[in-house]
Amino acid sequence: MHGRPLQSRFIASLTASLFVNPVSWLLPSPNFALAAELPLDSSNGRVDFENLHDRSDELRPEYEPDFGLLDRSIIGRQSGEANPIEKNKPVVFNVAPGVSRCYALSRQDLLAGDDDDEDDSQRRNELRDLENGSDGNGSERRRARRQGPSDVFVSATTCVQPDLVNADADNKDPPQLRLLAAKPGATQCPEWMPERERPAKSDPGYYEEYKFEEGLVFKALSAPSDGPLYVSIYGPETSDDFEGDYNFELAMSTKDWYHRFVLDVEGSKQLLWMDSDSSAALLLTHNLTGADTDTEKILKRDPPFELYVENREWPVFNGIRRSLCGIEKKALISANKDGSGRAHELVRTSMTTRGGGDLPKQQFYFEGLNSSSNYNAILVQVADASEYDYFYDGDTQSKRQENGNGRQMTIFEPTAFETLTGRSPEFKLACIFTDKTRNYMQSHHRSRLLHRNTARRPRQQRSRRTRTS
Amino acid sequence: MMQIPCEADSTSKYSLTRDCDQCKVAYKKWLCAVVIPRCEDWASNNTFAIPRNVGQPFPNGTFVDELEGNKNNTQSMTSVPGYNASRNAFIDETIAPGPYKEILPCHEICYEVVQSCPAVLGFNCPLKGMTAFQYSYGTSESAPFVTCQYPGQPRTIVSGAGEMMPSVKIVLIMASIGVCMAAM
Repeated sequence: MHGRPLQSRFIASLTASLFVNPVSWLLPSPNFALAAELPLDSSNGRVDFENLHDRSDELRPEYEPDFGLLDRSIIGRQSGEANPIEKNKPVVFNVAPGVSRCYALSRQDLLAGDDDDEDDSQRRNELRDLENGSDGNGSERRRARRQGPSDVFVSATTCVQPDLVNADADNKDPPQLRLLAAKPGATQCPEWMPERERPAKSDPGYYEEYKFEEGLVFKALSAPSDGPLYVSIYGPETSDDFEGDYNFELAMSTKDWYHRFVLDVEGSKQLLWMDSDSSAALLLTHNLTGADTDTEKILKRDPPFELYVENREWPVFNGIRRSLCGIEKKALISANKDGSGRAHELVRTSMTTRGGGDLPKQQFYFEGLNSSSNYNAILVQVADASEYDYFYDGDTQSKRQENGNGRQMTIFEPTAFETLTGRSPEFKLACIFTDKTRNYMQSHHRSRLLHRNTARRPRQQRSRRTRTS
Repeated sequence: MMQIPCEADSTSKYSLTRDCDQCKVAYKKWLCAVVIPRCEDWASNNTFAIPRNVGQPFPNGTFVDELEGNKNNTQSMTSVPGYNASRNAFIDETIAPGPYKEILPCHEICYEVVQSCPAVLGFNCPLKGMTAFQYSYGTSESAPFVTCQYPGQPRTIVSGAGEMMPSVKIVLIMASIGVCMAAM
């Protein structure tokens, strides 16, 4: 009786093991789990850490701290960290004196599709080549397209500059901003160095420095064949006479500059002061076109120019005369497209054909000015991102790119005008006794309507034209 | 002009280079420039602007004589007929603005009428150097002022090359002329 439980147990376990062991032998040998799967470099067997990084992340190789409440100057100087910038998308930012801010236009963005028109025409050319059987030109064009544009049009304007706090300062204008452009093929942001310590041309840190002129810089930089284009905006150190930061607007494009300045052609000015009395003044622009067949078309469009005026007794345009974002903040009287500028009720603008050749031009009529005052007026040609705004360049008209933001501008030299004294009899400007009287009165009336209805302008009602039209 | 054959063929027209429309335009331009003067401030230092209406008082009651009292030329000013009245009597009598300075119309405006209109109209212009030319017409000079009044000429000084002059074909009809009115 006592031998039986032991025996049964033994037999039971033996049976069980006889069943289990073959099963375990038959199963495949297990692998040990590895902590990491490393791609082994076949050449030398060492681990290649470089390949672990994502290639598309070349712009941000390091961690960039971003604390919403604290601004950059507290966290630390921007030491070579590039901020991405896109084509045709202007960026606005602050830069403190002594600090620079770096931007990089990536190669992908540089090559990104331009106007569909261009692509369409390219494709048409390619298809035509294939039909004809000739492949010579087609492949060349394809190669050119892959290489991308050779120039990048970089432009920047100063929107705000440090304020003068010491009225007795010798130099009442703060220093101009600087644009630093790294050479093509550079792999890092250009860092500003004083003259003596500047890197040599062969140095990877080499850069070209361009000083803003009256708040504007516009340069065509060579597009790098590989890698991004690095530019920095540097705010120079200011003396204790000034306080505050700089604020700038930077834009890059492969079509044309976003911001540019055009010198008056010898013997003609873009904006003319016609006449004035003790409280009114009339200014006319140059003809918008030399071809009278375009007159009707141009008269139907919105006036393309804006005007900003300062009183020469209290000049506010010094240092920023060529910057639209600068003068629109400081102007005494602004005639902008929205009709929302300061003291805009003092000025009316409209298109007219009066005065010389029946060609279209824009007129600005001021009323309610102070007598015996001297003014400076700066004319700016502005195109919005709306497709109905055209850019006049002499006789050629280039349509603004639809995917662009911001306001593309061409700015001109200032025109001085003054009002007469109030002591003499009051003079009034009148337009009478001519065939064009009716036209003037109409345009005058239209300008009033334009002004009043600006806020309610039915832009949305316009149907979008197709690209082929 | 009703008596001038304007629509005739080339053998009967008064001119092969001008027609009646151009004559009308040129005449109208001259008439506007002469009847409606382009004014300047009395205080203006434009040496090409001549004083007009010096006998009348300013709006505040003072006279030119009192103003220019220490200068010797006050007597001679009122005695010169060209200075003592406006070219257009309507201005002195009805508008009565007091003394002012006028930028004289450019003499080309007058010559254009002679060039464009038929000789039978008998329109003539004084030439520089003739009597009283200096009270009637101005000449274009290179100076930092507007030296003579041409319709459409801006006050912004542009170089000589840029000054607007009419061409034979383009009809310049301008409408920016200063009119003096009393400040009330």
